[in-house]
Amino acid sequence: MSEWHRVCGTDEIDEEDVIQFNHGDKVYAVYNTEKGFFATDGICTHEHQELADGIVIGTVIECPLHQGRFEITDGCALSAPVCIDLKTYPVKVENNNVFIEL
Amino acid sequence: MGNNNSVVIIGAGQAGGRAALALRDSGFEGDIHLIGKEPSPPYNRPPLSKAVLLGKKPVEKTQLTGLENYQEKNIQLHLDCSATAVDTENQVVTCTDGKRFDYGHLIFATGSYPRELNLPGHELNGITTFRTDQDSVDLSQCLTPGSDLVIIGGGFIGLEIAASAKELDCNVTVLEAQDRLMSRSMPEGAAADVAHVHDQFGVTIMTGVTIQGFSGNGKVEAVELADGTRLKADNVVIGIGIIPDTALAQQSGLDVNNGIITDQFTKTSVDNIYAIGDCACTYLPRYDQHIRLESSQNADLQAATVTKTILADPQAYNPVPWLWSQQYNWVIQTAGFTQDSDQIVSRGRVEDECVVYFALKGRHLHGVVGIGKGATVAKEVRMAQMLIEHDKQPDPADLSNPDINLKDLLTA
Repeated sequence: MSEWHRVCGTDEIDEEDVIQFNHGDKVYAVYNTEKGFFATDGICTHEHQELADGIVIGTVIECPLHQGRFEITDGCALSAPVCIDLKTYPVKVENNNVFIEL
Repeated sequence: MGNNNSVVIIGAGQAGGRAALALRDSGFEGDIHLIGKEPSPPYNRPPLSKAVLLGKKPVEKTQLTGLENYQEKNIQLHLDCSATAVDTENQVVTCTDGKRFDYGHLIFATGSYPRELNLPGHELNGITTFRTDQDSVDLSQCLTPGSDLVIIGGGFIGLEIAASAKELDCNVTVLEAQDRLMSRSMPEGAAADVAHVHDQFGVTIMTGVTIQGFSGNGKVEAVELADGTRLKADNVVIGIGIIPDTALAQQSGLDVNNGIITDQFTKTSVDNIYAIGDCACTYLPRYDQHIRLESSQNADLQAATVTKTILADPQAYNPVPWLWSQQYNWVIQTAGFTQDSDQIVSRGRVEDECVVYFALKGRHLHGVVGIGKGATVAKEVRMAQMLIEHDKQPDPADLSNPDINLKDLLTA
């Protein structure tokens, strides 16, 4: 059964940036973009690398290791070397706090 | 004339494989023939000197995609097969096994091969270059704990193999002919930092070395240096660069000069023939010159460029070159060029496990090198790459100040 978990305050992620959120033994990436807040799996689908070390350009996250790119809003793999999409998770903002549904 | 609706790709490496897949994925409906010398379907080489050598990644996992996907996409793979002649007039490619393919478009993705070191004793067993998936599998079986490995060449490939071999508990010595490591790709300070990292892990690095030859009885036992030093070796890896494979292109009448000459759309000097990847020397508008790049990024992006060109939606190839290396748990990334620069400034220190060097040409940022544990340098290198891309003229004092966010310099 999924529930909402508080990630951080809305001001704790710079605009056009990403932070890591750990829950259980899993790693998530939570983004603040021009289109709002989003969340995906936190590890690149290409090689084991935390995406929160990467950079956000518009609504694209680029993996720091090999510059594989994903669309943040739907997790779509955009360019080599990544070819497997990222899983995405629902996010909501309430009272200046960001929540992820897991 | 050839079959206009057919693409023939000579070379089934990363560039050739990606081009075949991208053409199909972009809606190209004609025949696609992908001809490869090696027995394996297209694979990525970067993991060969790292995860595969360490036994952490099965060699099959380096393949771009499974064989069934080529079948599904109706891409004709001809492996263990070499193209021997191109009739550019009639647009036909002939292969070793007598197969002939008509083409409407022909892509040279012939890659490169390792430079040999033909010194006395070079034919001894245990001396190898390192290029293919088989090379990686073979070497991994030889790198037993406690064995002596001598690597000739202090460039990326040699240093990656050094790091992997050290992790496998080999005794590792790297020999470099120049007076420092990576003289082609890095400023002096950065090269010294890389040497520092290897030193910490116990790799012996010798620079300014002249090699006399190899000795042994059937199998290599030592590397003999000009100054009389004898280095015990169970295995020797030669990593002194690669040579673009341009023989067939030259024979076919294409312009060749350090690679197959192409414009920014990957078109060669002959109609309907293109060249991509390591074998291509491509015009980059950004630098107003032809440049031959040897990188994974280059293979991927040129595969995308040739696809667009063939599908009559040409988009100029014009990236700021970027590449990465992994050695131990350290990541090295470079973007742009650091040679021929007027000024080098740095931020951070290798002792703090994160250091970035910026090369300026005049007032313009021209290149960047980051060396750090994990992916710590990635953001700064990427931001610097974007500064180069946008032809920014950052203040050197800002570049060297770790409190200045490079992202802010982009909008400045």
